[in-house]
Amino acid sequence: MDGSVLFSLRLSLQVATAATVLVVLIGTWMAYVLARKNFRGKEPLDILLTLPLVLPPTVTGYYLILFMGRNGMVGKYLFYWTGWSIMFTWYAAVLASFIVALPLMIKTTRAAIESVDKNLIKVSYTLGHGEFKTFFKVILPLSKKGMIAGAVLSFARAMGEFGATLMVAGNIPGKTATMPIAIYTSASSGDWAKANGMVVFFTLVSATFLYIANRLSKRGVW
Amino acid sequence: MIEIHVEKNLGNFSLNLSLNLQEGMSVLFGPSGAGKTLTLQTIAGLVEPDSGTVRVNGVVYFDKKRGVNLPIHRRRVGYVFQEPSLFPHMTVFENIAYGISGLSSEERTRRVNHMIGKMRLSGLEKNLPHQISGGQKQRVALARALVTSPLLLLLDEPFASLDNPVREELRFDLLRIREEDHVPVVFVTHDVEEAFVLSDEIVVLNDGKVEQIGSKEEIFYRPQTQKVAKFFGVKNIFHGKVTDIRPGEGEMTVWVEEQSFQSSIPYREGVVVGEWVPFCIRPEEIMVLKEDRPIKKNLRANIFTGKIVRIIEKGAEHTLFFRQSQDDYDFEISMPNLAYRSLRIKEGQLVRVAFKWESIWLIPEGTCVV
Repeated sequence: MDGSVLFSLRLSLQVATAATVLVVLIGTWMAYVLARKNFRGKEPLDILLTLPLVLPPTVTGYYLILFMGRNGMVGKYLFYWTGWSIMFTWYAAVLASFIVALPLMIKTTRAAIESVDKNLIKVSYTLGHGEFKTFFKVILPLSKKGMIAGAVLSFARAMGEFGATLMVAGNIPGKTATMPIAIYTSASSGDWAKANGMVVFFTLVSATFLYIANRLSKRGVW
Repeated sequence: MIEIHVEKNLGNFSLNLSLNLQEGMSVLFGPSGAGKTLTLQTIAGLVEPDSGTVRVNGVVYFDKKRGVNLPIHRRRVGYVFQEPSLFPHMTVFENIAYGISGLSSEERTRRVNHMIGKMRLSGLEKNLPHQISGGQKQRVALARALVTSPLLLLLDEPFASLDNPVREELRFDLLRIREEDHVPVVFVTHDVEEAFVLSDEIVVLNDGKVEQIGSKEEIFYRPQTQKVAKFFGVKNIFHGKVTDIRPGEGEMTVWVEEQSFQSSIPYREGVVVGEWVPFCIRPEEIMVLKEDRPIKKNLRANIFTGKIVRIIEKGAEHTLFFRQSQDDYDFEISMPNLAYRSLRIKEGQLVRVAFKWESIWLIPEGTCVV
């Protein structure tokens, strides 16, 4: 493998890991809120968070440009105050992967939390533990399989992110070219040998992740 | 003392309670859908009433007007559900230790072990919930609630899904714990026997309202409403028209139109001739007379001749259906097997039955002038 391939691999792993950490932290919290709380606007919020799952990644990427671009709704303030823009940096790749992978985490984790016997949660409260402790001592241990499955799926999705990443991070060799983007570049420039290697590698990695996720979602395996 | 004065509307059901429960074992009794569980949940804070107050030993748990609603985890109530609801990922020991906080680990272990001994769970400490029996699970659930020294123990039909012998054992365990710990208990059941074995005080709920509160004797022998009488197995409830009153003798005569018989019953002040009064006799208070025996004085006023139309064997006792009119049957009589066998009665046989004047109870509710 030449240097650029290794770089792409390392960048993809780095982006996917960072995105997954964020997805697990924020996704678990959101899944808990959606599973256990009732509030006005719950349904629209759920739809909004799920949208990236069904939208073409380019559309998601487009929205990200609208929000985070140098002239975007949030991005312009960021640029104004710091002189920095997230666009075309590896952080943008993390952001794109995060948004696209988040619904996978929320869906699996929410289902796992909802399947925890409600009486166990009530018992925990009556035994003097508040919501926070109950989450860590009862809900988390009993829904961890679903959460791990969600995290694995999110990681795989983040690794494979292409469309939205291309929109916000671009295709800068040695800077933002993640592996899927490097594959696209190789294929479009006719470098089949390089593309073949990466494609085979990627297929194997993805299959492994799916296998792990499958095993985790079966009860009592781990 | 537990003071509950609450209202809660749930669409087609509404709870409207005003209750003061004494320390001791209070049994909430009533049919399904009477609001028993909802009452417990209101005390525990699992359900928020629409209005009213809940106070336990002077501590305000809930007060709508003052905007007080103590969170569940600060109420210090032990709650045990019909299902044991043990944490499946924790051992028996860990389950019991779950609610203890703010103690050193030695003290914690000491307390849990003490409770394990008390609840006859020794040797099961390291087992997971799925490795122990239903009765053991429910004992763990009780231990888990008790070890935190709750101000109040709320038990929601905790023994309902257990086999009979196990259920009896657990009832005795609970009574033993009550004697040792003196923790006030509110126990929900729809089982008459359970209500009697356990209660110091019975609250009969029906349709979200209190039908009657009282001791076992009061509920059993002096039901205040016809519903209470029915819930507690008073099968013989009649409506009699007063035909004669004898306040001096403490008696009055009533004519029961439906079953066409006349009876002499205790006089109640204020009753006038022509008034209709509901009264009842427990099935075990009616006796079948033996031909050769002299009739005691207190039976003489209420003797009836008729047929035994049906006999049903019910384990330790027999139920006999007696008819003297055109109705299906007029009285339901129940007697222990021993008494039944000595009478040698068969279906269709002509007999004389009688009931003591003292066994008749006038139900205060529903008295009306027609």
